[in-house]
Amino acid sequence: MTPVSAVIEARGLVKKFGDVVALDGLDLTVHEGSVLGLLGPNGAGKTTAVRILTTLLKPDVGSATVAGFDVVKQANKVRGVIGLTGQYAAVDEYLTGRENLRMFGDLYHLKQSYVRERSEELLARFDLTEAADRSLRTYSGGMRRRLDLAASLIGRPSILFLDEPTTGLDPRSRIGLWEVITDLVAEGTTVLLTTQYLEEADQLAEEIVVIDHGRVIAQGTSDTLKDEVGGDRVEIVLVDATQLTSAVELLTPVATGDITTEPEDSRISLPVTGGSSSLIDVIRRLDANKVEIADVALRRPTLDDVFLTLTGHAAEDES
Amino acid sequence: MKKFAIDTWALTKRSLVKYRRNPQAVVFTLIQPIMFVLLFRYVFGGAIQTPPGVDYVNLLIPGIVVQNAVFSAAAASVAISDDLANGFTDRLRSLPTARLAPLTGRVFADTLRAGLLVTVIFFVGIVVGFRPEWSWGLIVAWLLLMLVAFGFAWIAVAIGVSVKSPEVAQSAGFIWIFPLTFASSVFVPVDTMPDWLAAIATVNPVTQFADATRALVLDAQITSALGWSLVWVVILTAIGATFTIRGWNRMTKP
Repeated sequence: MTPVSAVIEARGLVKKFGDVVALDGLDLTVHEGSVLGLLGPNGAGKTTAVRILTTLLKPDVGSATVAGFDVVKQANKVRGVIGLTGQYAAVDEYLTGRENLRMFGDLYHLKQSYVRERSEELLARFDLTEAADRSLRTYSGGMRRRLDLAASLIGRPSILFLDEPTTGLDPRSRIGLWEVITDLVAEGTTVLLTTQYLEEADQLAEEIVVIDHGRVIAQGTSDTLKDEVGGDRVEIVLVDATQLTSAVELLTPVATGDITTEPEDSRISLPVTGGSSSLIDVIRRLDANKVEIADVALRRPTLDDVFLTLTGHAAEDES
Repeated sequence: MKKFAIDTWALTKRSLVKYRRNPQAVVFTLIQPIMFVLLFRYVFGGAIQTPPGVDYVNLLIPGIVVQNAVFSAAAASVAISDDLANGFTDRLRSLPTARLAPLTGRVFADTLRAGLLVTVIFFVGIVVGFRPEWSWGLIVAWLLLMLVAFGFAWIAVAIGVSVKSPEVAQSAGFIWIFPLTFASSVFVPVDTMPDWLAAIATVNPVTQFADATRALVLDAQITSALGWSLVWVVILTAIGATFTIRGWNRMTKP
């Protein structure tokens, strides 16, 4: 593989607000054309990191470059190549969809004719052509977010910052937005995505950085993070709770670690390796010994498990 | 500089369109001054002492247009604060847009709006018996009123960038306006007030604005009040712009 260059690079970012340390030496690298998912609970420093990288805040210590430009010294150059979609739909309520896009085009100092063309292109792409001449007050939450994303794309930024882009959206709109983001990445856009939704990071990001208290606590692909937390588990629910002890004995040779039981639910959970072949093995052993199974499943750890293990609290908890 | 002008205009347009699309805001900005005109013309007017031979309505209308030039500027506090709270300002600041354009755009929009508003009140005044001197004095008065709106818009924007939330801006943006416009020569001759209040009213810039406007629209006269008015516009703009820019820059480097 040819090495791809880092288009977002942060080194030792520190940012304090009074006594609160928002970032405590954050390092980040995002390679060209990739999606980095920045994951962390509320208050972990995700938004502060995005605000520094998009030139809205200056770090107390540390430095960062975006597309090779220093975010403090060459802020205006950075602004010319990035798009930002924040946690709120930062578009004007009283303007129509088309007017909003054209206004942002003007503010990017693009040529009038280009702005017109590009606005229509984006309206069509985000399925907003029909609503283009309506004031945003008549838009649904999903439409507003789509327009917001469209607005950040008006200048064809090569680097996109998405700060919790789907917070507060219904599942259908969320999936719609994911598709759009996936398309953008396929066209070569580099994306830094922050989210509290682990499923979102799993869907969109190739590489995930988990931060808490302003520092990186884990980094890797979704699969490597899951492996770190522990491999697969087989979970079994028995029909007859009195067979629990004998079932555990039968399964001990298959388990790669401690078997846990929840007698009140007749539930057994055992760590395994080998994926589905171990599942078949489990079922054979139990069946051969006439232990009746009510339910059985092979479970991969979710990013939620990763999160809980790494930070000691769940992703959507207030910290 | 060209960029700055383009960005300011784009954002001026935005504020004006936004205003036009909000019928409630239009109605309320118009209803309030019209109520004041009617209230003072027909309810209080008869009880207010005027110099002999002067009809109260001729004192009132030049005063009310000044009051409204000040009032219309105050909306900027809430608007700026709203933009800060809902992420709109963040987006603007992440664009290669001129740094101060969000502020200047707002100030220009409010100045133009004030120009429109005082024109409407002027004609409402004509309907209720106001008789100006039809001369160049009207044009100069109109320009002066826009300058007044411009100066106060900077004060309002400074409040907007300094307060923590739109709710605070709502009250902080308006609270100073009532004493400022009432303790002046806008509605009553200053010499009818108790001495201590008359002293305050005399130095109140709003009195200078109202007196200058009256001399222009009634007699086409340039008075010392006009000179003081221009000095006050410069002072208000300087104070407002200084605090605005300081607050604005602080947001990038807390």
